[in-house]
Amino acid sequence: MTPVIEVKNLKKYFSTPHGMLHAVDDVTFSIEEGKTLGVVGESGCGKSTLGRTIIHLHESTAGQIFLEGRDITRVKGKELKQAREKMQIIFQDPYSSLDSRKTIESTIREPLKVSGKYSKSEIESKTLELMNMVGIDERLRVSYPHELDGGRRQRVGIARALALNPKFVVCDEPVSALDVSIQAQALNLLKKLQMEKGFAYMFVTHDMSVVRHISDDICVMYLGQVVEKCPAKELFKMPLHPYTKALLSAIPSVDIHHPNKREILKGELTSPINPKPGCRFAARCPHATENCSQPQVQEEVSKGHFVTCCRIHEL
Amino acid sequence: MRNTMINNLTKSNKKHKKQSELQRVIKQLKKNKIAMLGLYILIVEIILAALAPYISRYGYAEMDLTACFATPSFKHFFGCDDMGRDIFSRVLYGGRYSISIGIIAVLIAVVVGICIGAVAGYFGGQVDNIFMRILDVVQAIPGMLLMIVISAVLGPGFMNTIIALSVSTIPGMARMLRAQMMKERDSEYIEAAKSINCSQFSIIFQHLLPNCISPLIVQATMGVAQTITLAAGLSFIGLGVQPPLPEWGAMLSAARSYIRQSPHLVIFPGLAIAVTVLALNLLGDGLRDALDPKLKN
Amino acid sequence: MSENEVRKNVPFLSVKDLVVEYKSDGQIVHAVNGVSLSLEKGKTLGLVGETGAGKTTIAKSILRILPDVGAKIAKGSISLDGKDVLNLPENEMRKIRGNVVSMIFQDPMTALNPVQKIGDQIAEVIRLHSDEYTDFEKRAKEMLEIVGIPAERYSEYPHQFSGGMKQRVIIAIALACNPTLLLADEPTTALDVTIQAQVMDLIVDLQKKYETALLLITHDMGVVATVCDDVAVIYAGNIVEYGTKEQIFDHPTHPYTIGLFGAIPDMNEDEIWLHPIEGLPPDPTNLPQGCAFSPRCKYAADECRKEPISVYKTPDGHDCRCCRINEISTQED
Repeated sequence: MTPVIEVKNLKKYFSTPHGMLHAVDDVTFSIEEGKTLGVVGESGCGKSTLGRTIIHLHESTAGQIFLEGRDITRVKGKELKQAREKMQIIFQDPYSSLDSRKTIESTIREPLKVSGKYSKSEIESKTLELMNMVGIDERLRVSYPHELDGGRRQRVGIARALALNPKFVVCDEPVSALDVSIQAQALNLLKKLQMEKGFAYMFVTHDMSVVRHISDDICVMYLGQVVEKCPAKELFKMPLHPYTKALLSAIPSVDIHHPNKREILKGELTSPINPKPGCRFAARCPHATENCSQPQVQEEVSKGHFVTCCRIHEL
Repeated sequence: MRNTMINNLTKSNKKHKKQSELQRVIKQLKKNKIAMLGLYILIVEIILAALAPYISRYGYAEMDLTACFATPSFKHFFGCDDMGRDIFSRVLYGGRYSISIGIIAVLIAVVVGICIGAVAGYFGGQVDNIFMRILDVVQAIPGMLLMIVISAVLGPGFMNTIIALSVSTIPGMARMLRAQMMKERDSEYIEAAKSINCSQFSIIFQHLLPNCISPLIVQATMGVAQTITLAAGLSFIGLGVQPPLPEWGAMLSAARSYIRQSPHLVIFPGLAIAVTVLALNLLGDGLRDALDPKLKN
Repeated sequence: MSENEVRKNVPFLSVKDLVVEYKSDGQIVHAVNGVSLSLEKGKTLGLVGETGAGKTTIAKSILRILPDVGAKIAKGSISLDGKDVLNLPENEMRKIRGNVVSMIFQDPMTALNPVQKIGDQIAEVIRLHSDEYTDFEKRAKEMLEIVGIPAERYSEYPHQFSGGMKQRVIIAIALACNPTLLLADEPTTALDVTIQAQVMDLIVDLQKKYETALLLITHDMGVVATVCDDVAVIYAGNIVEYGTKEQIFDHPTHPYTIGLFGAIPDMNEDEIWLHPIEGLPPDPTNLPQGCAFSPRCKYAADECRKEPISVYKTPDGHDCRCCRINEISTQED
């Protein structure tokens, strides 16, 4: 089966006054229909940039992006328009991602209108359908975003993204601004819609419990690079990369009788500007040796479990 | 099924028809008593100016040489000037010129400023550079001097005054909008608009502009006030509206030699300018608060 | 009983029946509705709840830094080390702030002055609040070292620091005068997981070392599980369940607490669907009659919607503001 989205050696560099910022460096993955790839990492690791680059909100520096088997890396104009109808994004911040001067209805209606595929009455009924689908009360049609709470706003954002029935949806921390009880509502909604319509999700988040719940596969990023990629369950059972281990042990556990053995990392993220070759995590890694300053290769240690660490077999 | 849905829709539309943006702004503005006072003053002034011929008993250029320098009385509410013209009539008629100069000049500046500022702010880079350097050149010349030069080149007169005033107001407007645009253009809702394939035109004018325009509206309201004083200034030095047209600044200018013996010649047109400017500023302040949807109180 | 003994039994911080209201747009926002809690020296109390539940308002009431316009402490008392905080004159209150009680705010990015050296910002607080130290600069450097920042960075500016470092500076400022009570308002929410762990460890270490009482405001059950001794679960401005960490985590009794635990994705079990609490928190200008949680509660009965609910004791002895705890526990089993 052709994956819905496939990314090969994708790179996105930004030029800054201090040098090249390697936001996304050599990332490869694919997502099939109805599946979810979780992308985790700390702020500044390039996970949001990755999603935005795939759906062409940023232009990629190098690498290839395939949508349903077609290379869309450099598409422009009409082709880009077509590609974008199949790729959508749900944003993190339900406050800034909605135009505060547009009503809920006109926000949801807009993608339908812009696509030019529907008649006026179809747009009306489809808007209503979408509002029902994400669970927004009809009476809120003419409300403004600031009159709604975070959870409802996020639903509006979801409705807007799903209006054109995309194949691939980037969920950029869609629940991290929401309270726990509301967060669970939103996650269930996303999952339900995926089961019904077969969306492929790329789920970007920093919350490990959320990513475990929603993903089929997980990709752990550190400073623009993928350090570990494997099925979700396996990552939590058998994390291999030292960074993944540290990340997992840092999560405060709700279980008061069996607290995590915590392995607290020293130091903080180093700068992603003009990084040195070699493992970018080496500076904070408790197991780093001289070899770690050599360029690292991704290795498939077991089926579907990829790790980028030269000391993986010794550890 | 669909029909019932649409039926419901129109029903709920009526039932839940909430206030539009404009209605919301008006409602907010109504709460602000001081701003409303400004608005009322302006409305009264505009009505008075429009109805000037019906209100005043004399024409603005009608001379009554027996009444030169007449002090305020029932016959001449504001007295008469050096040529025996009724100052009350002249202030009323003058409103027509002063207020319309202010409003038209600012309107032109806003429209041109929006175009330049929106394009420069949204596209950035070279486009921005070119527009901004042109504005730099305009702004490098002191405002008053620029207006004097333009008026002197084009010659005095009503239309030319408007042009001179708007040219010197454009850079401020354009820069303000550009700064707002640059702040807003990286917001997530703009990325969202891009991702659903909105054209650049609609991103600029349907998404960005409504979110950037409020400071411009405030600035424009206060700009009218400023323009009225500038127009008065131009007339004062003889480059604006020409006599016998009763523009307020021109009246001040003509009356300045008599300020000691007959201060009412200066007081009434001066008062007219001051009240108008004050009213506009009050309104502008109120609008700033009313236009912000996040500011509830 | 002698007066001394009485003092001994009074906890260091005690809040009784606190009611705080805001006036907004002609409506009254009922932010805090009768909260009582107490905290001993060296202990940690976790205040858990959702956005808008009134957590921050409680902390600000203790420091008396609620906004002057609109906010009003309508009822209740707060006593701190035997002093009645709400009736202290402002100049005495100023001595308490920063010295006896200090607060760590949520957002490290905006809490520091961007044009002042971080060392000077720490020294300033010491100069204003402490009689103990005379060499402010020395103490400021000492504080930097304590929170794990080299003293050489004294004369750097906030923009030269990362988020985690800034939060450490804020902790240094908060602890500079050895406060006896520390109010931490979501101190790690804005930080990444690995940094969050570092910062939380630092706060706890320092707290243990100086016997500080810590009021930790958070929405993260995981953080509560790791650091707190006692937990108060707050919903719509009211404490719905209050007990030791073990009591709350092992035997959550209030339907809201149960729901809250259920909504967190379980790290050890695979389930397709999460169990959210349906509905939304109530509008604080228009709270439902009786129990504020009743519209979202699946156990709600008529009796929940009439009178304000009083506090009941659960079988293991902690407080729960629910009139149907007996029915619920039988249903749960």
